Amino acid sequence: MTAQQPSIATNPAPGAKRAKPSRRPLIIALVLLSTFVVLLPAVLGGYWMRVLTVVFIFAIMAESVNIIAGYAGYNALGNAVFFGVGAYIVGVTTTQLNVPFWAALLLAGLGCVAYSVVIGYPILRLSGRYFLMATLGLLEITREVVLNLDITGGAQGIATPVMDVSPEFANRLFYYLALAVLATVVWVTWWIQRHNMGLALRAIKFDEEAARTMGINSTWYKTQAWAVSAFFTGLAGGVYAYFLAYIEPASVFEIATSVRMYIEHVFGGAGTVFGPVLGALILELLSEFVWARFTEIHYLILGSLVILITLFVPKGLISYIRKIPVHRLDAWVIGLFRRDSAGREESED
Amino acid sequence: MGDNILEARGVSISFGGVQAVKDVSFEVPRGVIFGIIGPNGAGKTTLLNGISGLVPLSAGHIEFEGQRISGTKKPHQIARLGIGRTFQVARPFDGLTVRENIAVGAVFAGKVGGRKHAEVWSLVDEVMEFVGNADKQDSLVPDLPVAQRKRVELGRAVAIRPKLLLLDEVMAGLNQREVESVMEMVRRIRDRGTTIILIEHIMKAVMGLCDTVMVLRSGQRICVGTPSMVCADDQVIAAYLGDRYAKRKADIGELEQGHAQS
Repeated sequence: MTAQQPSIATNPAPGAKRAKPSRRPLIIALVLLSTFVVLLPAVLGGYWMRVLTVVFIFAIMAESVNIIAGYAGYNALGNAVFFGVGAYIVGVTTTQLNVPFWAALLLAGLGCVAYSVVIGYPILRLSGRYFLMATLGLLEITREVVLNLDITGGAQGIATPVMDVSPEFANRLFYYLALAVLATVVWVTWWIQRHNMGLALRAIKFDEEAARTMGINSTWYKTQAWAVSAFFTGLAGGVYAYFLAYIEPASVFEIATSVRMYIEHVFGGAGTVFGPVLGALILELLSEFVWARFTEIHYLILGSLVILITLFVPKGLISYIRKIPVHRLDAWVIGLFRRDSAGREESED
Repeated sequence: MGDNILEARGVSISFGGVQAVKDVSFEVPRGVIFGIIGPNGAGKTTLLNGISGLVPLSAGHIEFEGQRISGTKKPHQIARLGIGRTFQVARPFDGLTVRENIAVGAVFAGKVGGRKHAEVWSLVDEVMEFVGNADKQDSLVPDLPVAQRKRVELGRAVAIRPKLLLLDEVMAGLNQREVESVMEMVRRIRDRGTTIILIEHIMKAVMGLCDTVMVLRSGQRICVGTPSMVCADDQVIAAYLGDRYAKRKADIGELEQGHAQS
């Protein structure tokens, strides 16, 4: 089909004299942040490691919804269906077929891709709110099916095999596993954003008909976008199934989960690479905090916060972060490194 | 294939019980500016939508360069064959910058496998210069005034390097000076070898630009010819100004002829 040659609008032409915003602050921030996150388990207790693992899992799902909803404008509100399917693929294959966890995880991702393509073929033709409703329907239907199958254990759920390792090791394993999947989905989103696919998806979001008359095969790009979204949501579900050691239809095919990842991607910044991750991080930590303090009115407080946030930050948090004068911080950090290596050549630009 | 770039044979387009286009046939010679005029609701835009594959034909067929496109090709395939278009109400991609809008055309409608990186960018720069938005290239489209939005839309269509360009009222809503400048752009596009089909209400533009004009009324073709021929046609006058006016004009014509003879 269409070749994916790297050429997208954010790339200036070779030799073009356009002022390109420096990417250095972003890279420095990312390096610092990832070092921090990678080293964090050294000082964290088991409880916070597990909290952060859940945060990462939600960040993966928010970023996945972002690919289809934030970029292509197809609001897959029922995207948690892939979380459930992924979780159940891992649950069923590891318990009934003795498939090793890693292989099961891969199967979860691929199974969700297949599911999204088969379902996407008819429903990606729907537009706007009809697609949204169809994805919600898909979530409900799939849960009912899983609930009534023998192989899934019905409403009893599945207890996934417990790994033969110490709890500390298991905590670290799931922490790093979720982190690795998160890093991958962020990288994939960044790649999409910079390549033709991102340009095509954004064009589809703003006017699909016009996009088609510009030579964009919208069916192809939408299907791809939803497949990528399903793949990572499926992986998140698979990790979750082993992490929690127990899954049941009501908890993994939950509409609240679905709405939550959707809100997180909008809150952080739909159609941006880092926004959804930020949104998930803040809302999940906030939720954890509120839950710990005000267990009984947890959803009341959280819901009110969400309303306030969407009222006052309609474009997503990331739009505010971009206004912070990072170049100053940037200059300061670079200054630190420069002083350290004074003998080095100075000019880079 | 002859020297016709586009041939339409017996084209009808219906929406439910409404027949928007009825049995229309025409051919567009390569290298011309072909005007389509007619009162509101005559089926002009529907006909363009039929050519670009956005609505299916209920009868007839359309051939582009001797190859049948109606019913066999999807809109993106038709675009890749070399048919570009603009929309009546400018529909640039609002969340994209001017430059990205034009890149969409340059990137996706290229030949199989797409255009090469450098080629795309030199094309975008060239089109930016052509549409005269060079200083606004990083602005988002909603921030632009109407005339510039229309230019972006035109630029986006030009960037696909079309062999045939369908322009749906690109001059509507523009002031006198802007109309002149768009007319000049249309001429330049034609001079570079692109055939143009133009829907327009501004008669000055139609008369000044078109080599051939087709008139539609209630979905039917009522006249084809040079602009001056079309303007003198009684049916056309009736379509625009009503039957009574056409009859009166005919009467006056007879009177004048009478005077001249005496």
